[in-house]
Amino acid sequence: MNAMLKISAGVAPLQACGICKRYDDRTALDTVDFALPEGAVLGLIGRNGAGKSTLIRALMGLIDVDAGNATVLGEPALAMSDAAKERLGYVPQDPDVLGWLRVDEMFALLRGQYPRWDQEFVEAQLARTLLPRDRALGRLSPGERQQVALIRALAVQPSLLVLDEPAAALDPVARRDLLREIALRAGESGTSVLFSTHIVSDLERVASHVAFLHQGRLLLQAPMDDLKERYARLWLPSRVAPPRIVGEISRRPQQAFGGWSLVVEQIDGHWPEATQQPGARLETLGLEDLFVEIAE
Amino acid sequence: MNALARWLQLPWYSAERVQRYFNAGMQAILLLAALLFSLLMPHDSGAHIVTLILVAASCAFNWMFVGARWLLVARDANALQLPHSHQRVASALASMATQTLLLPTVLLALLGLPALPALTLMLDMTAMALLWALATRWMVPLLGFVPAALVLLAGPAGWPSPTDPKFTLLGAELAALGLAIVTLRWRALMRADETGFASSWRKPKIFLLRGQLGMQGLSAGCATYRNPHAGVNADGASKIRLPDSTGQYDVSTLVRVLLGPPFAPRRRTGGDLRYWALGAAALLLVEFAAWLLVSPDTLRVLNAMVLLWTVMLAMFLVPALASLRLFALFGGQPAAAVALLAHLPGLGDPSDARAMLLRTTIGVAIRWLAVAVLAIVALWLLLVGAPGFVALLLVAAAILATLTGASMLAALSGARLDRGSSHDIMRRGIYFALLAVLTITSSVALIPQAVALLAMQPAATTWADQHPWIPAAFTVAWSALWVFALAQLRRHWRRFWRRAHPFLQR
Amino acid sequence: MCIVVLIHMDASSLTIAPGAPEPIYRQIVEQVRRLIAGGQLPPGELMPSVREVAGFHAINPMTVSRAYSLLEGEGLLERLRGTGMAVAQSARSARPEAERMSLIEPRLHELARAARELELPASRVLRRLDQLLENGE
Repeated sequence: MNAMLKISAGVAPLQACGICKRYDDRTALDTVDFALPEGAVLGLIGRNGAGKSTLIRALMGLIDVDAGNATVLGEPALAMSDAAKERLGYVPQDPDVLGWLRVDEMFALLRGQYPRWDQEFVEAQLARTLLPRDRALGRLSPGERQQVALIRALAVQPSLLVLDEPAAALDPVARRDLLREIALRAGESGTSVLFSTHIVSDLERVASHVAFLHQGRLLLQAPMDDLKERYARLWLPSRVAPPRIVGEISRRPQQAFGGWSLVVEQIDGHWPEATQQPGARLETLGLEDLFVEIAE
Repeated sequence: MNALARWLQLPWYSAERVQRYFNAGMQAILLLAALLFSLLMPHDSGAHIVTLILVAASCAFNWMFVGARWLLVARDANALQLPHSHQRVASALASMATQTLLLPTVLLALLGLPALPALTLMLDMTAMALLWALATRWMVPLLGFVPAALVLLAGPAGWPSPTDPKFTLLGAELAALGLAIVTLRWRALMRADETGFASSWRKPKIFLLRGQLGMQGLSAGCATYRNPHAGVNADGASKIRLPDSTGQYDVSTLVRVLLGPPFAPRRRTGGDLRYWALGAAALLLVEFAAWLLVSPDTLRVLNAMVLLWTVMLAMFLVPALASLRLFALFGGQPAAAVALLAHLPGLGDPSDARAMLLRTTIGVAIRWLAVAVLAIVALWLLLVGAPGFVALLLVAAAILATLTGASMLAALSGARLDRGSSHDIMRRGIYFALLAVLTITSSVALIPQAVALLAMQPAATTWADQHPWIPAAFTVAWSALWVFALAQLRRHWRRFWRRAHPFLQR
Repeated sequence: MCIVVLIHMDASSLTIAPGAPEPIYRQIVEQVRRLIAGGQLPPGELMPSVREVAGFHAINPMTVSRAYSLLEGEGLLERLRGTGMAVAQSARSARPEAERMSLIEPRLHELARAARELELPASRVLRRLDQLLENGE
């Protein structure tokens, strides 16, 4: 479990290699290598516009990329077979989908296409969330639409669940329910989950792995516990920029402190030597601080 | 100069970019056609009415979809407490009036045409357009018949035709009345609570245009993809008809339902029925008045004109709306429906899925076109009866089908909705407009009965009679357009089949 | 020696702070260690199942099982056939004071550093600590 994301080809339910995507003059994704280990819950985190949705859509085979390739459940993302599609649950960022259908009609329409469709789950969720089943989806609030989309994705009993900002429109109770469902699915059915978010606390609860996307580049990709144990903030008092040190992830000047703050990584269980310098101070970081430190 | 340029641009910013370009293109084409008519038409036939109608139509079009939107801007500016918003709105409307009313008037005067009657006609159309936009939704189908009613009443009441200088006084009175109502309505709506209407049925039309891609507001039934209320009627019930609820659908139905209106099978709802019933009632009323007022021969011509115009408009509108919808689905913001389709098991291998997508999108549009063409041919042969027009219509329909196919394929292969150097949508809008103008001008130039219909009088001569080179010129124009349309179709067909799978987005 | 308050162990007895720099599995390990060392969890006491803990706190079950495995490795928990995890018989209820002291040592260091940084007199800090320990506040 402690192993880094080194998964042999074809085993990872979701994998990408050297993905590049440009829109006009803007680079959305810059040579992204990515792997979701089997049974992992990977939280993809990044600022607005970092390219999270683009990466997810590229992984899902929904857009043409300029370079690189992605595989879903071992098949090319752009040419999935029905067998792969049946095991895939995907909820896009803005599930404005099918506003013209009633809630129950939408489920009735799709259940015939998925052999593992779990109608009991749908019924139970509809009853629990009090979603009006005879209302058109277009008449639901954004949060309710999101819930319907999540129920739809979970009802297919997916082996791979991909959620783009699933919690954005949900209220705190529904959000906690969703996290619980994700966590238990992963733990019990072995579902591999990829979800993007910029709400760090969601990620800290359920994610077993974390990936940081910043300006189209994947800066960091590691098991969650490693991230908290192996990365720290190093305060270096120095008016001039210190030379780049081994294990450095990012740095920024700190006027008030009169020096620099660096994010450093343990190498083979040891902190970089720079931590021994006079005046240097090492500080453990919560995920949110780490995120701010790297993404700023 | 800079300030002047800004002032001239100002009014157009109330509409979305696509709408702006479309309006600009339409205006250019309509004014050009008007110019051609006035230069080539025999001066004695009284057919300058065609020029006037084209100019007035362009003016109305701008006020319906751009000018009226300034009410929304004014309301929002008010709500946001923006300073000087009243002056800005007034300035924009003044600029709009200068460009759409004064400019054409001056041009017409320079061409030696009766400018004052034209100005009053344009003012009438402006008032009509604003009334259309500001009216409650249920009034909209009724308003559509006001021009027809006025034309009808004109004969028996002895009103002068708009080409007649005597029209000025009457037209001015009508415009003053219309604009007064518009002003009162505008002031009332400025203070109205936008969310306070019981149903969309009672909402003013302009509020329904909010958030919609302007052009799709042309049809109240087909809102944009991004609008979550698309395909939902005022009572919140779905307009889509599902064949049954057993959960076993054939895949093409499934794809159609997922693509949504206008591809999905529709459910006739109470709201729709009321809308059509009102329209039909108004039509019957006009028909009854006409039956009382005019001779059977004129009535026949009138009916032919109204019916033909309606069907022809529909013939152009439905494929255009279907293309727009595809542009929104495949070329705009990522649409969840397309993602769902891309991951839906059971669509077969990629080439099956492609064929299925083509059948359910282009197939639907082409079927509609075929029905519309058959209706027009039948109506024409029944009511007018000049086979020459049928040939012309079939050529036009073939090109329309080609252009529709090309533009839908362009949408399906990822042409962009919002922006980009090519302005895909605008260009395609212009192709359709060109085709429409070519159809109308050819009809008038080559077929005496068409002139008779348009000018509402038995016309003995056409352009072709006066200028022997005209048929040849039209043949060249038609051939060029068709070749161009075929080239477009071929290009986008190839692009469509080259994609990895048919449900890719931008 | 004060009176040991036995607790019934369920998922809610664990406090999870997802935002803390300390990983969640460590938080669980530390808490269980302390509870056992303090004697509040006697040998044989049944632990809440992984699913219960994960479900209650909406955290990843793998994190919980990782914590349990570590505790099992330390000999503090043992796996019962079919019924889950329980406090090991070998985990003596109250450990020697020295051992228990070593568990609190890092926190005392932290406290001492904070007190020095704030330039608080030792007597004042000790008095307050005394109060807290007495009242169990």
